[in-house]
Amino acid sequence: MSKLLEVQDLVLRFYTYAGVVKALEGVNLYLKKEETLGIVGETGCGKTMTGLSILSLVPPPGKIEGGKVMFQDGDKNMELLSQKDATLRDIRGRDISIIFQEPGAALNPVYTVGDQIAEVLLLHRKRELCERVLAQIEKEELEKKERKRKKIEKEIKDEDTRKRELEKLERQKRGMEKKIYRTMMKHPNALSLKFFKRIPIIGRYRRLKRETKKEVVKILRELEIADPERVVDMYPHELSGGMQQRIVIGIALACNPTVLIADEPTTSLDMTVQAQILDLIRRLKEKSGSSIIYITHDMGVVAELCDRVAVMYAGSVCEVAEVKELFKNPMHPYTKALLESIPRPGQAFKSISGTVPGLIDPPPGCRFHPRCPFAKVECTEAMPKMNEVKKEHFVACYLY
Amino acid sequence: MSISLETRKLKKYYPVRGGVFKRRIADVKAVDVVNLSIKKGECFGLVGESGCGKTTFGKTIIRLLDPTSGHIYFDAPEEVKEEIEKLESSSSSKNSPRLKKLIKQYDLAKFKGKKLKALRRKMQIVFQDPSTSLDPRMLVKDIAAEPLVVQKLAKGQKIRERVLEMLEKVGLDETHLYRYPHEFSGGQRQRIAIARALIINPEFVVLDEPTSSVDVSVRAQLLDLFQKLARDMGLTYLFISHDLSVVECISDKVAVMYLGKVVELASTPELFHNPLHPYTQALMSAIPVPDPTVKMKRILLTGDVPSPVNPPSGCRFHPRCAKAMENCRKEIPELVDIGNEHFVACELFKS
Repeated sequence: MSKLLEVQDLVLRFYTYAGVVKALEGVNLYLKKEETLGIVGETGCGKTMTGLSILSLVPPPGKIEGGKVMFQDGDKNMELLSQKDATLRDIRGRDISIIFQEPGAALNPVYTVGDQIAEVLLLHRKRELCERVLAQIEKEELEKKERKRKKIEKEIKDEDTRKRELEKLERQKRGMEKKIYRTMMKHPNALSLKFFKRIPIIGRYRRLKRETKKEVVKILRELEIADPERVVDMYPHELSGGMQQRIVIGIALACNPTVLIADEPTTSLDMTVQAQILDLIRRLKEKSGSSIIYITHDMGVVAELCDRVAVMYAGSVCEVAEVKELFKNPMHPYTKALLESIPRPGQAFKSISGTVPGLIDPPPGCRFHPRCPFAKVECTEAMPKMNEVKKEHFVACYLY
Repeated sequence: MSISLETRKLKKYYPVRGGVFKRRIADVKAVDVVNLSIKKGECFGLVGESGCGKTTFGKTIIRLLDPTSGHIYFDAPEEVKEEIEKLESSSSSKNSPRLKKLIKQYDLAKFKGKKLKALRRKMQIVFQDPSTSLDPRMLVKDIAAEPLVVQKLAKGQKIRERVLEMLEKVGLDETHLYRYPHEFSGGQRQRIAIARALIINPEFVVLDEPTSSVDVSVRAQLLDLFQKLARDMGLTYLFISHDLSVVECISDKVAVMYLGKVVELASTPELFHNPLHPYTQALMSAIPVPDPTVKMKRILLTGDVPSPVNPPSGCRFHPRCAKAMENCRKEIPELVDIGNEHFVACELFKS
């Protein structure tokens, strides 16, 4: 399978008053077509930042200082970090979209959820929607003409006038509306549209709005939201956490993206709701064939959902392997410790001694060495490189 | 083992006010007739989805919230509880001075003033989110010392000694004394909160989702700490959590709550190997298993928890229950003992 997305040697720094936070230090990852890649790690290990970097969404004072993000999909083949803002805006939401961590914070409280899903649709799928509107106008026109023709044929007895009337009817066109939507389709940012927008009534684009709403309702129905016609006009605060998360997922999936980055989508939710959302993500993936990068700290979710896993620690990836392989045969000492710290009944609680190091002044060499039971002298000197120890099993550790 | 804390018919309703004069127009039935007893030295787990009333229950039994009705007994002799029950059930003795006296003396739900303050020496709580439960303007040494000062248990140099001793017990040291809460990580903040709760040697501690805001590895550290402290100090815990895998590892007995009612109650191994209530079964199947070779059969619940203002009639779980019957809509099921100290409130196990 081909690599869809590849992150190479990504370096991210935050310039703060306290010093330079070395948030990401040479992250290497790749995502294959139609797979789910899990990224796991403790808080502050850089998993969210990796997700945000892919879309160049890192908040200031963060700066991406090196590395590449290669995106390859069909005829598209580009390096994302060097793209212009306009190109990025085109990619975000359409080719690569993201589900943010807290649905309560990700949704805008002053717009209805319908409007927020419509925003993505109008940005990326306006052409499709306009086409539908035009088709509808044409259909209506034909119907109207048909009705008129019948009326003329029935009412006007005189042969000549009837002929003239019918000819007149043929020439009739509903020009204005069609023209507007055609321009909208061809040049979404045309100057004339900006003028029309200022004119009352014409500027409302009611057909487009109606069509968008129909599409939004369809999306909501796919997300298994009960009574979508009512939910469209609700505000985020009127919905429960699980429902809010569904809306956020709806926004992310509105344009059938090739890559979906899910940043801890179930962390703030209840167990039962989490099960619902996981099930939903799995089914939507099967349907649309998207590839998913699933960021989480819950090993249980990883085991259930992902095909491959990348374990991150303090700003770099320390182990990548297939799920079954990773759980059966963890190699990096950190992965081992992480798996052992899952509470299991009847066993003593094991935890990793020490705490995650501060990233302003991280330990030299392998960043895990102060907590690692197998640390050697060379671990303190240089950062270990990723090695393919087994097929598709990469470890960054001097033990291998 | 003797019973440490017992609730009988405990209710906590929050009023919903509305209209012109802010009349009470409805109640949020957060805790609705809950009978639980927690034995000495036990770790009692309380699980349920958010909004099921588990935190309200935890706060009510240590009187951070005033119960609407019902009794809470702490270290009360069995005979007294029986006598109160008996006196209350007969209409003639409902207002007898004997009943009033007994309630005043033993029923924690009616304690006031000095008596309540004395009680707080024995009962403490560790709150959910340590970033909000610790005063950001107080130093760690003052935070941990506050219970001692309030209860007048120590003075001057003695306070410092006790604080240091306690901080060491929870895995902090002298260097942390003169720092503010924001300088600590989530796990360490929770340790400070634990130190504050345990400094006066309480007997009973409510742990309200103490591990929900921390990482996996830190969670293991904290759970380990809880077990160690329970052993060393002879503590009784009420462990409130929505994470069943944690509850399975730490508690001896588990109660499952749904919309203000206890639906199932059993010892931990019994409950996890033989869950009977459909809700418990769904909850169990929702735990993601950290093993990719295991394929779980999920019982997916549809929809959300209904509003506790207007709970469904009969069994409160029936609109989401796959096994709901006609009778579930009408009758409220009682907790029934089905042997092996396993209680379940469901129509399926009535006989």
